Amino acid sequence: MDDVECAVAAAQYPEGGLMLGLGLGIVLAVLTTDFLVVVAPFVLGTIGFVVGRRVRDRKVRTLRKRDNHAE
Amino acid sequence: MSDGVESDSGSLPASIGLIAVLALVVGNAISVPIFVLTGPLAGGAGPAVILAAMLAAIPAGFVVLYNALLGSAMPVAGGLYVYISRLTAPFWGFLVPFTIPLVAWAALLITAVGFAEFTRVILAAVPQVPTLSASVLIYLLLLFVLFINLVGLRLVAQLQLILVVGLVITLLTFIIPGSTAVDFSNYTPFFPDYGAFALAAVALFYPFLGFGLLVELGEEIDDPSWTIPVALFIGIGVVVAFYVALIAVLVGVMPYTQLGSEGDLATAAAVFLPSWGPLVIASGAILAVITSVNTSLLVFSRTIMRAGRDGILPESLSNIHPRFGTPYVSLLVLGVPPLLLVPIAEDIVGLSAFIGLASLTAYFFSAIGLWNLPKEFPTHYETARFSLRRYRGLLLAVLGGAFATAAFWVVTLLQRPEIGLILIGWFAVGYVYYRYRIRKTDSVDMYRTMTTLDAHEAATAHERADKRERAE
Repeated sequence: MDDVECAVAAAQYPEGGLMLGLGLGIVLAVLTTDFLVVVAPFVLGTIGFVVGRRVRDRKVRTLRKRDNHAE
Repeated sequence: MSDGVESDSGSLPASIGLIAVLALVVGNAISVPIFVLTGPLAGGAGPAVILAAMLAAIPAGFVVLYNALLGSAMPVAGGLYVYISRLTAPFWGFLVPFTIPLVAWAALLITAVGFAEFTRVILAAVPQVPTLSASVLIYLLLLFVLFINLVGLRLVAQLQLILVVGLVITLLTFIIPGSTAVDFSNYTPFFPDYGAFALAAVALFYPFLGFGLLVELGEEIDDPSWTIPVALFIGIGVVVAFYVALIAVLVGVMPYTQLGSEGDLATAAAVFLPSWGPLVIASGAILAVITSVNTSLLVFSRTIMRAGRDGILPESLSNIHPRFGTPYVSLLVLGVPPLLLVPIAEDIVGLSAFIGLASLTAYFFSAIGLWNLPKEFPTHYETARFSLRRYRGLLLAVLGGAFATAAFWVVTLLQRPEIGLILIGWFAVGYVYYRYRIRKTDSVDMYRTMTTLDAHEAATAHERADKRERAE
């Protein structure tokens, strides 16, 4: 991993997204029906993880572009 | 990241062997829950609490297997934090030391409740002893344990050995005569409440966490690559046997409808033992309480120390006392707040479920980490004294453990969703703090630190490889 990838990876976007999704899933289940607790945290957690990965990839691309312009 | 090496910044001296390690792990695992949790759990779940203990042993078995594999390959201080941060992702690893203070305080509060309950039994029976309030005794206990942990691991291990012998004698005094007094009609109905049964299985997972102790102390154990797996496999056999036998006697000698209090073991002892019976049980419980508090502080302080050493928590937490060689700042962070929280310890089943859930989360990620171990640190895995083939035993262990921990997670959420919310809420606070620490430091350096090993940790694998080559 180069410095750009390390700097972005350090922010742990996919992990943050997964955790946010899990939390939203539990809140959703508590507010609606208990049975959702089996599904919602895992589904929303997975969505959060995928979104986090996209954010991470976009950040890497943005930083690389910025570095190329600076050179 | 493969076999990466980071700068060395100090290590703890190796000082304890197999017998002391066994005493530490058995003493921690068969302590508080046996004496304190079984009554309240049996009061709700009925005789099915026996089955709940057996079910709790399933994820616990995976915990033992993971600890044996990881501890044998990478013996380091602050094990779980190091494994998860190096083998899955730095943030998941960071959550271990970040959540540990809550888990430690909850564990100490459960212990405090048990101590108060059984001390009351003894004080009531011995009128010559000057009356001290339960809270005063709790404060004295916590201060005493904090003091000996500050003074050093060797002393803790020696004290633990004596206490565990007393504990085993006490348990046998309850189990052997009690087994002859069992009334089998007390085992029906076996499942009076399925919800309480499910919660009991999760709550009873907490005591098995004592097995995580060894990987946190890896650096301080003699020949850890051999000692850790051997102590773990012997330890879980001993603990499960004591655990199930004691619970079976408790619900066999008293109808579950009469159970529900933390002091039920002493009450049950009065059914089949002479008048000194409850006193023996109360003494055993007090020994158990001390062994639990003892090891809780010991283990958790090492994890926080390691995170401080990496710089993801304040570095002062990694300070080692120049005279005693202990992580004294971490010990104070863990040992002092419970002194303030003792008066609010009431819901011990809820606290146990919280500890169980937090630990299940960590072990879910360590399952993923275990799968990555042979790929990320091949020399460590190849030279470990205990290992499994990646696409055979290891794959089964990882899938089984991940499934068992995920299933227990769902069961807890169904029974107590608020505990899941508190935990995830705490993780969210942790994410904000993690980002703050990353911004405050050089994020690239921090990332590399949290994905590689210290020099002396990495060197152990190469030393083992050299030894093996010489032997061949």
